[in-house]
Amino acid sequence: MSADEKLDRREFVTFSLTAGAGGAVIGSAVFARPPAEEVTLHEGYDPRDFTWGFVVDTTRCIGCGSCVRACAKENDVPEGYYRTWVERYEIAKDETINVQSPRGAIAGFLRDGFGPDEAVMKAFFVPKLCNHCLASACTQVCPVGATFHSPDGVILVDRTHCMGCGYCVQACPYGCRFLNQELGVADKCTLCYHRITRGLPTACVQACPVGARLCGNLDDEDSEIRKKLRERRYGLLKPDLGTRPKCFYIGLDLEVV
Amino acid sequence: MRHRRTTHLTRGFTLLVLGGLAYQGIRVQLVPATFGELGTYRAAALAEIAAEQPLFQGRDACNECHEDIVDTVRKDTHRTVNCEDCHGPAQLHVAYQMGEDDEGITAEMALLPKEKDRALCLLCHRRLRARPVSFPQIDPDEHVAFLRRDGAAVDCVECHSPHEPIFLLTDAESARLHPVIRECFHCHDPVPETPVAEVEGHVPVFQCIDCHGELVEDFEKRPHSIVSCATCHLYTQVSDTADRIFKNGNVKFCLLCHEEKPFKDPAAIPLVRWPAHLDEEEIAAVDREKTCIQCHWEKIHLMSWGETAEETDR
Repeated sequence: MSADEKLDRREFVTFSLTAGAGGAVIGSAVFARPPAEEVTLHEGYDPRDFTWGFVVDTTRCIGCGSCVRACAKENDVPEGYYRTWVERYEIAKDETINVQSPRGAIAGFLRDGFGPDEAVMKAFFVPKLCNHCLASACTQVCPVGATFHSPDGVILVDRTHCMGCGYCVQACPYGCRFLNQELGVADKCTLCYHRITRGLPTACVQACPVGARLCGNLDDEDSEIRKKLRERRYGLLKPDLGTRPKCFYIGLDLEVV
Repeated sequence: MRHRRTTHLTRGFTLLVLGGLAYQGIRVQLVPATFGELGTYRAAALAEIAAEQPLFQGRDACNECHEDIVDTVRKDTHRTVNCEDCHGPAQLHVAYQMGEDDEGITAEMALLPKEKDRALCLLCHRRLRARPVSFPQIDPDEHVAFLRRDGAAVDCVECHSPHEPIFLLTDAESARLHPVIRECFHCHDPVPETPVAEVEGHVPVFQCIDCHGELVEDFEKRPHSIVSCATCHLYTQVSDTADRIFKNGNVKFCLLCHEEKPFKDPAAIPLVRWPAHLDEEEIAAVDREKTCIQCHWEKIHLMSWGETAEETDR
Protein backbone atom coordinates (compact mmCIF):
# COMPACT_ATOMS: atom_id res chain seq x y z
CA MET A 1 0.00 0.00 0.00
CA SER A 2 1.55 3.25 -1.08
CA ALA A 3 1.44 6.35 1.00
CA ASP A 4 -0.64 8.13 -1.63
CA GLU A 5 -3.37 5.57 -1.69
CA LYS A 6 -6.43 6.45 0.27
CA LEU A 7 -8.49 3.89 2.08
CA ASP A 8 -12.17 4.67 2.08
CA ARG A 9 -14.37 3.79 5.01
CA ARG A 10 -15.94 0.73 3.41
CA GLU A 11 -12.57 -0.75 2.56
CA PHE A 12 -11.34 -0.03 6.07
CA VAL A 13 -14.24 -1.85 7.68
CA THR A 14 -13.98 -4.83 5.37
CA PHE A 15 -10.25 -4.99 5.90
CA SER A 16 -10.52 -4.82 9.67
CA LEU A 17 -13.18 -7.49 9.91
CA THR A 18 -11.28 -9.80 7.60
CA ALA A 19 -8.17 -9.29 9.69
CA GLY A 20 -10.02 -10.02 12.93
CA ALA A 21 -11.63 -13.12 11.51
CA GLY A 22 -8.28 -14.18 10.08
CA GLY A 23 -6.77 -13.85 13.54
CA ALA A 24 -9.53 -15.96 15.01
CA VAL A 25 -9.07 -18.64 12.35
CA ILE A 26 -5.30 -18.68 12.81
CA GLY A 27 -5.85 -18.76 16.58
CA SER A 28 -8.17 -21.72 16.43
CA ALA A 29 -5.73 -23.51 14.14
CA VAL A 30 -2.89 -22.78 16.57
CA PHE A 31 -4.81 -23.87 19.66
CA ALA A 32 -6.80 -26.60 18.01
CA ARG A 33 -6.97 -29.91 19.87
CA PRO A 34 -7.45 -33.24 18.18
CA PRO A 35 -11.13 -33.90 17.45
CA ALA A 36 -12.91 -35.48 20.42
CA GLU A 37 -13.30 -39.22 20.30
CA GLU A 38 -16.61 -40.49 19.10
CA VAL A 39 -19.41 -40.58 21.67
CA THR A 40 -19.97 -44.26 22.25
CA LEU A 41 -22.40 -45.44 24.90
CA HIS A 42 -23.03 -49.17 24.80
CA GLU A 43 -22.92 -51.67 22.01
CA GLY A 44 -25.98 -51.60 19.83
CA TYR A 45 -27.34 -48.48 21.47
CA ASP A 46 -27.72 -45.44 19.26
CA PRO A 47 -29.25 -42.56 21.23
CA ARG A 48 -30.75 -41.12 18.06
CA ASP A 49 -33.19 -44.06 17.82
CA PHE A 50 -34.73 -43.34 21.22
CA THR A 51 -36.92 -40.81 22.99
CA TRP A 52 -37.39 -42.01 26.53
CA GLY A 53 -40.72 -41.56 28.24
CA PHE A 54 -42.24 -42.78 31.49
CA VAL A 55 -45.66 -43.97 32.56
CA VAL A 56 -46.87 -44.02 36.16
CA ASP A 57 -50.08 -45.95 36.84
CA THR A 58 -51.47 -44.31 39.97
CA THR A 59 -54.30 -46.83 40.09
CA ARG A 60 -51.81 -49.61 40.72
CA CYS A 61 -49.34 -48.01 43.13
CA ILE A 62 -49.48 -49.57 46.60
CA GLY A 63 -47.11 -47.06 48.22
CA CYS A 64 -44.58 -49.64 49.39
CA GLY A 65 -41.62 -47.41 48.55
CA SER A 66 -39.62 -50.15 46.80
CA CYS A 67 -38.88 -47.73 43.97
CA VAL A 68 -37.50 -45.11 46.36
CA ARG A 69 -35.25 -47.63 48.09
CA ALA A 70 -34.03 -49.13 44.82
CA CYS A 71 -33.31 -45.68 43.36
CA ALA A 72 -31.41 -44.58 46.44
CA LYS A 73 -29.20 -47.66 46.35
CA GLU A 74 -28.67 -47.80 42.61
CA ASN A 75 -27.74 -44.15 42.32
CA ASP A 76 -26.13 -43.57 45.70
CA VAL A 77 -28.63 -40.82 46.52
CA PRO A 78 -27.63 -38.94 49.68
CA GLU A 79 -29.82 -39.54 52.72
CA GLY A 80 -32.70 -37.13 53.06
CA TYR A 81 -32.89 -36.42 49.32
CA TYR A 82 -34.90 -38.32 46.75
CA ARG A 83 -34.74 -38.64 42.97
CA THR A 84 -38.08 -40.39 43.10
CA TRP A 85 -40.59 -40.39 45.92
CA VAL A 86 -44.15 -41.45 46.63
CA GLU A 87 -46.86 -39.03 47.71
CA ARG A 88 -50.08 -40.05 49.37
CA TYR A 89 -53.27 -38.06 48.82
CA GLU A 90 -56.17 -38.58 51.18
CA ILE A 91 -59.35 -36.63 50.58
CA ALA A 92 -61.95 -36.55 53.34
CA LYS A 93 -65.70 -36.27 52.74
CA ASP A 94 -65.53 -32.60 53.73
CA GLU A 95 -62.88 -32.15 51.01
CA THR A 96 -60.01 -31.68 53.41
CA ILE A 97 -56.91 -32.89 51.64
CA ASN A 98 -54.04 -34.57 53.39
CA VAL A 99 -50.86 -34.94 51.33
CA GLN A 100 -47.94 -36.80 52.84
CA SER A 101 -44.64 -38.27 51.78
CA PRO A 102 -42.77 -39.18 54.97
CA ARG A 103 -39.06 -39.29 54.06
CA GLY A 104 -40.07 -39.69 50.44
CA ALA A 105 -41.76 -42.97 51.49
CA ILE A 106 -38.35 -44.65 51.57
CA ALA A 107 -39.70 -46.63 54.51
CA GLY A 108 -43.23 -46.85 53.09
CA PHE A 109 -46.26 -45.60 55.01
CA LEU A 110 -46.78 -46.85 58.54
CA ARG A 111 -50.30 -45.58 59.15
CA ASP A 112 -53.20 -43.77 57.54
CA GLY A 113 -52.98 -40.00 57.50
CA PHE A 114 -56.52 -39.41 58.70
CA GLY A 115 -57.68 -41.02 61.92
CA PRO A 116 -59.86 -44.16 61.89
CA ASP A 117 -63.03 -42.15 62.55
CA GLU A 118 -62.52 -39.68 59.74
CA ALA A 119 -64.76 -40.24 56.71
CA VAL A 120 -62.38 -40.57 53.80
CA MET A 121 -63.77 -40.05 50.32
CA LYS A 122 -60.79 -41.38 48.45
CA ALA A 123 -57.14 -42.00 48.92
CA PHE A 124 -54.36 -42.95 46.53
CA PHE A 125 -50.63 -42.87 45.98
CA VAL A 126 -48.76 -40.87 43.34
CA PRO A 127 -45.11 -41.71 42.69
CA LYS A 128 -43.12 -38.76 41.41
CA LEU A 129 -39.87 -38.42 39.52
CA CYS A 130 -38.24 -36.12 36.96
CA ASN A 131 -40.62 -35.56 34.07
CA HIS A 132 -37.79 -35.29 31.53
CA CYS A 133 -39.67 -32.42 29.91
CA LEU A 134 -39.32 -31.67 26.21
CA ALA A 135 -39.25 -27.94 26.99
CA SER A 136 -37.60 -28.11 30.38
CA ALA A 137 -37.10 -25.01 32.48
CA CYS A 138 -34.09 -26.40 34.32
CA THR A 139 -31.83 -26.81 31.29
CA GLN A 140 -32.66 -23.32 30.04
CA VAL A 141 -31.41 -21.56 33.15
CA CYS A 142 -28.08 -23.37 33.51
CA PRO A 143 -25.43 -20.69 33.02
CA VAL A 144 -22.66 -23.12 32.06
CA GLY A 145 -24.41 -25.79 30.01
CA ALA A 146 -23.93 -28.43 32.66
CA THR A 147 -27.46 -29.78 32.48
CA PHE A 148 -28.82 -30.75 29.13
CA HIS A 149 -31.15 -32.85 26.99
CA SER A 150 -29.43 -35.98 25.79
CA PRO A 151 -30.10 -36.97 22.16
CA ASP A 152 -32.45 -39.65 23.50
CA GLY A 153 -34.56 -37.24 25.55
CA VAL A 154 -33.14 -37.66 29.04
CA ILE A 155 -32.30 -34.62 31.16
CA LEU A 156 -28.84 -35.19 32.63
CA VAL A 157 -26.35 -33.32 34.79
CA ASP A 158 -22.67 -33.19 33.84
CA ARG A 159 -21.13 -33.48 37.30
CA THR A 160 -17.64 -32.44 36.23
CA HIS A 161 -18.97 -29.23 34.69
CA CYS A 162 -21.74 -28.24 37.13
CA MET A 163 -20.72 -25.53 39.56
CA GLY A 164 -23.60 -26.02 41.96
CA CYS A 165 -25.22 -22.60 41.62
CA GLY A 166 -28.66 -24.12 42.14
CA TYR A 167 -30.53 -22.14 39.46
CA CYS A 168 -31.92 -25.35 38.00
CA VAL A 169 -33.13 -26.49 41.42
CA GLN A 170 -35.19 -23.31 41.65
CA ALA A 171 -36.35 -23.49 38.05
CA CYS A 172 -37.82 -26.99 38.15
CA PRO A 173 -41.57 -26.57 38.77
CA TYR A 174 -41.85 -30.16 39.96
CA GLY A 175 -39.23 -30.08 42.71
CA CYS A 176 -37.34 -32.92 41.10
CA ARG A 177 -33.84 -31.52 41.64
CA PHE A 178 -31.67 -30.98 44.68
CA LEU A 179 -28.13 -29.94 45.44
CA ASN A 180 -25.95 -32.89 46.29
CA GLN A 181 -24.19 -31.54 49.36
CA GLU A 182 -21.41 -34.13 49.20
CA LEU A 183 -20.42 -33.37 45.63
CA GLY A 184 -21.53 -29.74 45.41
CA VAL A 185 -23.46 -30.33 42.20
CA ALA A 186 -27.08 -30.44 41.12
CA ASP A 187 -28.52 -33.94 41.33
CA LYS A 188 -31.58 -35.49 39.77
CA CYS A 189 -33.14 -38.57 38.19
CA THR A 190 -31.05 -39.78 35.25
CA LEU A 191 -33.74 -42.26 34.25
CA CYS A 192 -30.97 -44.73 35.17
CA TYR A 193 -29.13 -43.71 32.02
CA HIS A 194 -26.45 -46.31 32.75
CA ARG A 195 -29.13 -49.00 32.76
CA ILE A 196 -31.47 -48.00 29.93
CA THR A 197 -28.52 -47.58 27.55
CA ARG A 198 -27.61 -51.19 28.35
CA GLY A 199 -31.14 -52.38 27.67
CA LEU A 200 -31.99 -52.83 31.37
CA PRO A 201 -35.10 -51.39 33.02
CA THR A 202 -34.58 -48.47 35.40
CA ALA A 203 -34.03 -49.48 39.02
CA CYS A 204 -37.47 -48.18 40.06
CA VAL A 205 -39.31 -49.95 37.25
CA GLN A 206 -37.58 -53.21 38.07
CA ALA A 207 -38.28 -52.82 41.79
CA CYS A 208 -42.00 -52.04 41.47
CA PRO A 209 -43.91 -55.16 42.56
CA VAL A 210 -47.21 -54.16 40.94
CA GLY A 211 -46.13 -52.80 37.55
CA ALA A 212 -47.10 -49.22 38.37
CA ARG A 213 -44.08 -47.87 36.51
CA LEU A 214 -43.03 -48.25 32.92
CA CYS A 215 -40.16 -46.70 31.03
CA GLY A 216 -39.88 -46.98 27.28
CA ASN A 217 -39.13 -45.62 23.85
CA LEU A 218 -41.74 -43.15 22.61
CA ASP A 219 -40.24 -43.33 19.10
CA ASP A 220 -41.09 -47.00 18.74
CA GLU A 221 -44.75 -47.48 17.89
CA ASP A 222 -44.71 -51.07 19.07
CA SER A 223 -43.12 -50.38 22.45
CA GLU A 224 -44.96 -51.25 25.67
CA ILE A 225 -45.17 -47.60 26.59
CA ARG A 226 -46.84 -46.55 23.34
CA LYS A 227 -49.26 -49.44 23.68
CA LYS A 228 -50.13 -48.36 27.20
CA LEU A 229 -50.61 -44.75 26.12
CA ARG A 230 -52.97 -45.89 23.38
CA GLU A 231 -55.00 -48.01 25.79
CA ARG A 232 -55.24 -45.86 28.89
CA ARG A 233 -56.24 -42.30 29.68
CA TYR A 234 -53.55 -40.25 31.24
CA GLY A 235 -52.72 -36.81 32.55
CA LEU A 236 -49.62 -34.66 32.90
CA LEU A 237 -48.35 -32.72 35.88
CA LYS A 238 -48.84 -28.95 35.51
CA PRO A 239 -49.44 -29.09 31.75
CA ASP A 240 -50.27 -25.37 31.68
CA LEU A 241 -46.64 -24.49 32.35
CA GLY A 242 -45.74 -25.55 28.84
CA THR A 243 -42.84 -27.70 29.95
CA ARG A 244 -44.19 -30.62 27.91
CA PRO A 245 -43.38 -33.37 30.41
CA LYS A 246 -42.70 -36.90 29.12
CA CYS A 247 -43.92 -38.57 32.30
CA PHE A 248 -47.52 -39.70 31.80
CA TYR A 249 -49.77 -40.37 34.78
CA ILE A 250 -52.58 -42.89 34.40
CA GLY A 251 -55.57 -42.11 36.63
CA LEU A 252 -54.20 -38.74 37.69
CA ASP A 253 -56.54 -36.84 40.02
CA LEU A 254 -57.16 -33.13 39.75
CA GLU A 255 -55.94 -32.68 43.32
CA VAL A 256 -52.42 -33.79 42.38
CA VAL A 257 -49.94 -31.01 41.68
CA MET B 1 10.01 8.46 13.71
CA ARG B 2 7.98 9.56 10.74
CA HIS B 3 4.47 8.28 10.74
CA ARG B 4 3.29 7.01 7.45
CA ARG B 5 -0.35 7.48 6.54
CA THR B 6 -1.04 3.78 7.05
CA THR B 7 0.68 3.28 10.38
CA HIS B 8 -2.55 3.52 12.32
CA LEU B 9 -4.04 0.86 10.09
CA THR B 10 -1.15 -1.51 10.64
CA ARG B 11 -1.48 -1.05 14.37
CA GLY B 12 -5.19 -1.63 14.27
CA PHE B 13 -4.72 -4.67 12.12
CA THR B 14 -2.11 -6.14 14.43
CA LEU B 15 -4.29 -5.51 17.45
CA LEU B 16 -7.23 -7.24 15.83
CA VAL B 17 -5.15 -10.27 14.91
CA LEU B 18 -3.75 -10.47 18.43
CA GLY B 19 -7.22 -9.98 19.88
CA GLY B 20 -8.57 -12.81 17.77
CA LEU B 21 -5.74 -15.07 18.84
CA ALA B 22 -6.20 -14.17 22.49
CA TYR B 23 -9.96 -14.79 22.28
CA GLN B 24 -9.50 -18.23 20.82
CA GLY B 25 -6.70 -19.04 23.22
CA ILE B 26 -8.77 -18.15 26.27
CA ARG B 27 -11.89 -19.78 24.89
CA VAL B 28 -10.14 -23.07 24.24
CA GLN B 29 -8.83 -23.05 27.78
CA LEU B 30 -12.23 -22.37 29.30
CA VAL B 31 -14.52 -24.48 27.15
CA PRO B 32 -14.18 -28.18 27.96
CA ALA B 33 -13.35 -30.71 25.28
CA THR B 34 -16.28 -32.12 23.30
CA PHE B 35 -18.47 -29.19 24.37
CA GLY B 36 -20.90 -28.34 21.60
CA GLU B 37 -20.47 -31.51 19.60
CA LEU B 38 -24.03 -32.65 20.23
CA GLY B 39 -25.50 -29.50 21.77
CA THR B 40 -24.54 -26.85 24.27
CA TYR B 41 -23.05 -29.40 26.63
CA ARG B 42 -20.03 -31.64 26.99
CA ALA B 43 -20.75 -34.60 24.72
CA ALA B 44 -18.35 -36.82 26.66
CA ALA B 45 -20.60 -36.52 29.73
CA LEU B 46 -23.09 -38.86 28.04
CA ALA B 47 -20.64 -41.74 27.91
CA GLU B 48 -19.41 -40.98 31.42
CA ILE B 49 -22.92 -41.20 32.87
CA ALA B 50 -23.76 -44.28 30.79
CA ALA B 51 -20.59 -46.02 32.00
CA GLU B 52 -21.72 -46.28 35.64
CA GLN B 53 -22.20 -49.85 36.83
CA PRO B 54 -25.73 -51.14 37.47
CA LEU B 55 -26.22 -52.49 40.99
CA PHE B 56 -29.53 -54.27 40.55
CA GLN B 57 -29.14 -57.32 38.32
CA GLY B 58 -32.73 -58.40 37.75
CA ARG B 59 -34.39 -61.78 38.05
CA ASP B 60 -32.76 -63.22 34.93
CA ALA B 61 -29.38 -62.93 36.63
CA CYS B 62 -30.73 -64.76 39.72
CA ASN B 63 -32.18 -67.44 37.45
CA GLU B 64 -28.69 -68.31 36.18
CA CYS B 65 -27.95 -70.14 39.44
CA HIS B 66 -31.16 -70.23 41.48
CA GLU B 67 -33.48 -71.63 38.84
CA ASP B 68 -35.40 -73.76 41.35
CA ILE B 69 -36.35 -70.80 43.54
CA VAL B 70 -37.12 -68.51 40.60
CA ASP B 71 -39.41 -71.22 39.18
CA THR B 72 -41.28 -71.43 42.47
CA VAL B 73 -41.64 -67.65 42.64
CA ARG B 74 -42.93 -67.49 39.07
CA LYS B 75 -45.84 -69.80 39.91
CA ASP B 76 -47.14 -67.87 42.88
CA THR B 77 -48.45 -64.38 43.45
CA HIS B 78 -45.06 -62.88 44.21
CA ARG B 79 -44.09 -63.44 40.58
CA THR B 80 -44.08 -59.69 39.96
CA VAL B 81 -41.76 -58.95 42.88
CA ASN B 82 -38.12 -58.59 41.92
CA CYS B 83 -35.82 -60.81 44.01
CA GLU B 84 -33.67 -57.81 44.90
CA ASP B 85 -36.62 -55.98 46.49
CA CYS B 86 -36.11 -58.20 49.53
CA HIS B 87 -32.56 -59.50 49.06
CA GLY B 88 -30.89 -56.22 48.11
CA PRO B 89 -28.85 -55.34 45.01
CA ALA B 90 -26.96 -58.36 43.70
CA GLN B 91 -24.07 -56.74 41.83
CA LEU B 92 -21.37 -57.80 44.29
CA HIS B 93 -22.95 -61.21 44.74
CA VAL B 94 -23.01 -61.91 41.01
CA ALA B 95 -19.52 -60.50 40.42
CA TYR B 96 -18.12 -62.62 43.24
CA GLN B 97 -19.87 -65.80 42.18
CA MET B 98 -18.94 -65.36 38.52
CA GLY B 99 -15.36 -64.69 39.55
CA GLU B 100 -15.18 -61.53 37.45
CA ASP B 101 -13.73 -58.37 38.80
CA ASP B 102 -13.12 -60.10 42.10
CA GLU B 103 -10.59 -57.60 43.31
CA GLY B 104 -11.53 -56.69 46.82
CA ILE B 105 -14.90 -58.44 46.91
CA THR B 106 -15.02 -60.72 49.91
CA ALA B 107 -17.47 -63.56 50.49
CA GLU B 108 -18.98 -61.44 53.24
CA MET B 109 -19.65 -58.52 50.91
CA ALA B 110 -21.14 -60.88 48.35
CA LEU B 111 -23.60 -62.39 50.81
CA LEU B 112 -27.16 -61.28 50.21
CA PRO B 113 -29.45 -60.91 53.24
CA LYS B 114 -32.31 -63.33 53.84
CA GLU B 115 -34.98 -60.86 54.85
CA LYS B 116 -37.38 -62.33 57.37
CA ASP B 117 -38.53 -59.17 59.04
CA ARG B 118 -42.23 -58.64 59.43
CA ALA B 119 -41.74 -54.93 58.82
CA LEU B 120 -40.52 -55.68 55.30
CA CYS B 121 -43.68 -57.66 54.45
CA LEU B 122 -45.83 -54.92 55.93
CA LEU B 123 -44.29 -52.31 53.61
CA CYS B 124 -46.56 -53.76 50.94
CA HIS B 125 -49.24 -55.61 52.90
CA ARG B 126 -50.17 -53.29 55.77
CA ARG B 127 -53.77 -52.15 55.34
CA LEU B 128 -53.87 -48.53 54.25
CA ARG B 129 -56.78 -46.55 52.87
CA ALA B 130 -54.72 -45.37 49.93
CA ARG B 131 -53.86 -48.90 48.78
CA PRO B 132 -55.94 -50.22 45.87
CA VAL B 133 -58.63 -52.41 47.45
CA SER B 134 -57.84 -55.34 45.19
CA PHE B 135 -54.32 -55.57 46.62
CA PRO B 136 -54.02 -58.11 49.48
CA GLN B 137 -53.49 -56.18 52.68
CA ILE B 138 -53.96 -56.89 56.37
CA ASP B 139 -54.28 -55.23 59.70
CA PRO B 140 -51.36 -56.99 61.42
CA ASP B 141 -53.11 -57.30 64.77
CA GLU B 142 -56.41 -58.42 63.34
CA HIS B 143 -54.79 -60.91 60.97
CA VAL B 144 -53.22 -63.01 63.70
CA ALA B 145 -56.05 -62.49 66.20
CA PHE B 146 -57.41 -65.99 65.67
CA LEU B 147 -54.04 -67.38 66.63
CA ARG B 148 -54.70 -66.07 70.14
CA ARG B 149 -51.11 -65.32 70.86
CA ASP B 150 -50.74 -62.45 73.26
CA GLY B 151 -47.92 -60.01 73.19
CA ALA B 152 -45.03 -60.40 70.76
CA ALA B 153 -45.50 -60.20 67.03
CA VAL B 154 -45.44 -63.33 64.91
CA ASP B 155 -43.20 -63.21 61.87
CA CYS B 156 -45.06 -63.57 58.60
CA VAL B 157 -42.56 -66.16 57.36
CA GLU B 158 -43.56 -68.53 60.15
CA CYS B 159 -46.58 -69.38 58.00
CA HIS B 160 -46.06 -67.74 54.60
CA SER B 161 -43.07 -68.59 52.48
CA PRO B 162 -42.02 -65.37 50.72
CA HIS B 163 -41.25 -67.33 47.56
CA GLU B 164 -44.61 -69.04 47.61
CA PRO B 165 -46.83 -66.95 49.87
CA ILE B 166 -50.21 -68.57 49.28
CA PHE B 167 -49.28 -71.90 47.71
CA LEU B 168 -51.53 -71.67 44.70
CA LEU B 169 -52.89 -74.86 43.25
CA THR B 170 -53.02 -73.27 39.83
CA ASP B 171 -50.07 -71.28 38.46
CA ALA B 172 -50.58 -67.59 39.00
CA GLU B 173 -50.10 -67.01 35.27
CA SER B 174 -52.68 -69.59 34.25
CA ALA B 175 -55.28 -68.75 36.88
CA ARG B 176 -58.68 -68.21 35.33
CA LEU B 177 -60.19 -64.82 34.60
CA HIS B 178 -63.36 -63.89 36.47
CA PRO B 179 -65.61 -60.84 36.11
CA VAL B 180 -64.40 -58.20 38.53
CA ILE B 181 -65.36 -58.95 42.14
CA ARG B 182 -66.88 -56.23 44.31
CA GLU B 183 -66.91 -56.52 48.05
CA CYS B 184 -68.50 -54.18 50.57
CA PHE B 185 -65.15 -52.69 51.63
CA HIS B 186 -64.39 -51.70 48.04
CA CYS B 187 -66.90 -48.87 48.41
CA HIS B 188 -67.60 -48.60 52.14
CA ASP B 189 -65.14 -47.52 54.80
CA PRO B 190 -66.03 -48.57 57.46
CA VAL B 191 -68.14 -51.48 56.22
CA PRO B 192 -71.79 -51.18 57.37
CA GLU B 193 -73.13 -54.03 59.43
CA THR B 194 -76.41 -54.40 57.53
CA PRO B 195 -76.20 -57.02 54.76
CA VAL B 196 -76.61 -55.50 51.31
CA ALA B 197 -79.82 -57.46 50.66
CA GLU B 198 -81.52 -55.67 53.55
CA VAL B 199 -80.56 -52.18 52.46
CA GLU B 200 -83.46 -50.52 50.74
CA GLY B 201 -82.62 -48.96 47.40
CA HIS B 202 -79.10 -50.33 47.27
CA VAL B 203 -77.86 -50.89 43.77
CA PRO B 204 -77.96 -54.64 43.03
CA VAL B 205 -74.54 -56.24 43.43
CA PHE B 206 -73.48 -59.64 42.29
CA GLN B 207 -72.50 -61.94 45.07
CA CYS B 208 -70.91 -65.37 44.85
CA ILE B 209 -74.29 -66.94 45.57
CA ASP B 210 -75.87 -65.39 42.46
CA CYS B 211 -73.88 -67.63 40.13
CA HIS B 212 -72.61 -70.36 42.42
CA GLY B 213 -75.86 -70.76 44.41
CA GLU B 214 -75.79 -74.48 45.12
CA LEU B 215 -72.16 -74.38 46.17
CA VAL B 216 -72.54 -71.36 48.44
CA GLU B 217 -75.67 -72.69 50.11
CA ASP B 218 -73.85 -75.93 50.80
CA PHE B 219 -70.80 -74.05 52.04
CA GLU B 220 -72.91 -72.04 54.49
CA LYS B 221 -73.84 -75.24 56.33
CA ARG B 222 -70.27 -76.40 56.88
CA PRO B 223 -67.69 -75.32 59.48
CA HIS B 224 -65.63 -73.27 57.04
CA SER B 225 -68.47 -70.82 56.56
CA ILE B 226 -66.78 -68.64 59.17
CA VAL B 227 -64.30 -67.61 56.48
CA SER B 228 -65.24 -65.83 53.27
CA CYS B 229 -65.08 -67.34 49.79
CA ALA B 230 -62.11 -65.09 49.04
CA THR B 231 -60.09 -66.56 51.90
CA CYS B 232 -59.34 -69.54 49.70
CA HIS B 233 -60.35 -68.22 46.29
CA LEU B 234 -58.00 -65.28 46.30
CA TYR B 235 -58.19 -62.88 43.43
CA THR B 236 -56.25 -59.98 42.03
CA GLN B 237 -57.61 -57.36 39.71
CA VAL B 238 -55.90 -57.46 36.34
CA SER B 239 -57.97 -54.94 34.36
CA ASP B 240 -60.95 -52.63 34.78
CA THR B 241 -63.34 -55.52 34.23
CA ALA B 242 -61.48 -58.71 35.06
CA ASP B 243 -59.96 -60.37 38.07
CA ARG B 244 -57.68 -63.35 38.12
CA ILE B 245 -59.07 -65.86 40.59
CA PHE B 246 -57.08 -68.64 42.18
CA LYS B 247 -58.16 -72.08 43.32
CA ASN B 248 -56.58 -73.13 46.56
CA GLY B 249 -56.65 -76.69 47.71
CA ASN B 250 -52.95 -77.07 48.15
CA VAL B 251 -51.97 -78.83 51.36
CA LYS B 252 -49.57 -76.04 52.28
CA PHE B 253 -52.37 -73.54 51.93
CA CYS B 254 -54.53 -75.44 54.43
CA LEU B 255 -51.55 -75.62 56.77
CA LEU B 256 -51.27 -71.82 56.82
CA CYS B 257 -54.06 -71.97 59.39
CA HIS B 258 -54.11 -75.57 60.57
CA GLU B 259 -50.48 -76.47 61.18
CA GLU B 260 -49.53 -76.76 64.84
CA LYS B 261 -47.23 -73.93 65.86
CA PRO B 262 -46.21 -72.84 69.36
CA PHE B 263 -48.00 -69.54 68.96
CA LYS B 264 -51.33 -71.00 67.87
CA ASP B 265 -54.13 -71.81 70.27
CA PRO B 266 -55.67 -75.27 69.61
CA ALA B 267 -58.89 -74.14 71.23
CA ALA B 268 -59.34 -71.49 68.55
CA ILE B 269 -58.70 -73.63 65.51
CA PRO B 270 -58.17 -77.37 64.80
CA LEU B 271 -54.45 -77.95 64.54
CA VAL B 272 -52.43 -80.85 63.16
CA ARG B 273 -48.77 -81.75 63.35
CA TRP B 274 -47.29 -81.95 59.90
CA PRO B 275 -46.29 -84.26 58.31
CA ALA B 276 -46.72 -86.49 61.40
CA HIS B 277 -50.51 -86.23 60.88
CA LEU B 278 -50.23 -88.44 57.81
CA ASP B 279 -48.47 -91.17 59.75
CA GLU B 280 -50.82 -90.97 62.72
CA GLU B 281 -53.79 -91.49 60.46
CA GLU B 282 -51.90 -94.04 58.36
CA ILE B 283 -52.58 -92.12 55.24
CA ALA B 284 -50.74 -92.91 52.06
CA ALA B 285 -50.20 -89.49 50.54
CA VAL B 286 -51.26 -90.24 47.00
CA ASP B 287 -51.40 -86.65 45.89
CA ARG B 288 -49.30 -84.57 48.22
CA GLU B 289 -50.68 -81.36 46.79
CA LYS B 290 -54.33 -82.10 47.44
CA THR B 291 -54.02 -84.42 50.44
CA CYS B 292 -56.13 -82.37 52.90
CA ILE B 293 -59.24 -81.92 50.82
CA GLN B 294 -59.31 -85.58 49.88
CA CYS B 295 -60.36 -86.38 53.45
CA HIS B 296 -61.60 -83.07 54.78
CA TRP B 297 -63.59 -81.72 51.85
CA GLU B 298 -66.78 -82.08 53.86
CA LYS B 299 -65.56 -79.36 56.21
CA ILE B 300 -65.30 -76.95 53.27
CA HIS B 301 -67.91 -77.31 50.58
CA LEU B 302 -69.18 -79.76 48.03
CA MET B 303 -66.38 -81.01 45.83
CA SER B 304 -66.84 -82.79 42.55
CA TRP B 305 -66.36 -86.17 44.25
CA GLY B 306 -68.25 -85.43 47.46
CA GLU B 307 -71.77 -85.60 48.79
CA THR B 308 -74.06 -82.76 49.84
CA ALA B 309 -74.06 -81.60 53.44
CA GLU B 310 -77.36 -83.33 54.13
CA GLU B 311 -76.05 -86.62 52.81
CA THR B 312 -73.01 -86.52 55.07
CA ASP B 313 -75.46 -86.08 57.92
CA ARG B 314 -73.77 -83.44 59.84
